Amino acid sequence: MNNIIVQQISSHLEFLGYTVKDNSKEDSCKFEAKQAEWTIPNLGLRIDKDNFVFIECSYGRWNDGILNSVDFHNTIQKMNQSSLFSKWYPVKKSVDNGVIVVIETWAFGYDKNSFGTTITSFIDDVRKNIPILYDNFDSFRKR
Amino acid sequence: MRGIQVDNAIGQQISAHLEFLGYEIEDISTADYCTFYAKGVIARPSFTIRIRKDGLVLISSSIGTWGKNVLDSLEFHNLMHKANLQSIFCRWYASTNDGDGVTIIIKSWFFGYEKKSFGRVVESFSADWNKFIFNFGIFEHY
Repeated sequence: MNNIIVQQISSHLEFLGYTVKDNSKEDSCKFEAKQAEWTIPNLGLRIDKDNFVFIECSYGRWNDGILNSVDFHNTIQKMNQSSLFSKWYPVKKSVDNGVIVVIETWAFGYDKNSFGTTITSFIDDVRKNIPILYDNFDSFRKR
Repeated sequence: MRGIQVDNAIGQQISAHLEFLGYEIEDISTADYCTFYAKGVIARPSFTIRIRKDGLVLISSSIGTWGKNVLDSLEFHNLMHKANLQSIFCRWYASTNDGDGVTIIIKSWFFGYEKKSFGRVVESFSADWNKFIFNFGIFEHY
């Protein structure tokens, strides 16, 4: 990893218990942060040339039928309303892969305090909301 | 800086930046927050900026209102999800907080102030707003 921001962020994520794996190619800076247990989400990170850091994770999978549930859509709206640093939306994967929910956030460059605030709040939102989705829409879960 | 005095170092930089983009700034700060309203010119969203003591800058814009039954429309929700998927620096949601109607809120955030990156966030916010806002016209009958 040759990018100073990647090094700083990797080091920060290690303090939170993540193992960081570099997936960068020549023209893009991408990496993954994984964690052995379910307590915090696995993350995908991407850094663009202006040093914006995009962070996302996803959970699934549900049957396509969940997209016909108004209750599901309103639950997602509420999650977007109540979270501070995260954006929630469902994505339909191609060919019978079902529906996943993607959660995104971003940061600019690396600053210990602001990155820490962003990532901690992001993880808290995911921890709080994912069980709600799994519990309330269990009948749509793909087995 | 002309006009109002925003009593906060980051607030002053941001309001000066927005004035370069043609915004009119109105200070509506309270004891706890530095808050101001930026009134946009044609094709730019007006928004409220609130700056927390730790330097977190929250940008939000709202459009509405629709009747509550718009939340029963799958088409409406799918458009919101599409807006969230394609927008870069903002998230969209339907808020039912103020009484009867549904308001669409668009939110973005930033830490501190840095000219180029703040510029990119604001430009991207305007672009995303412009790209989707007219699509919600089809829900006029609500």
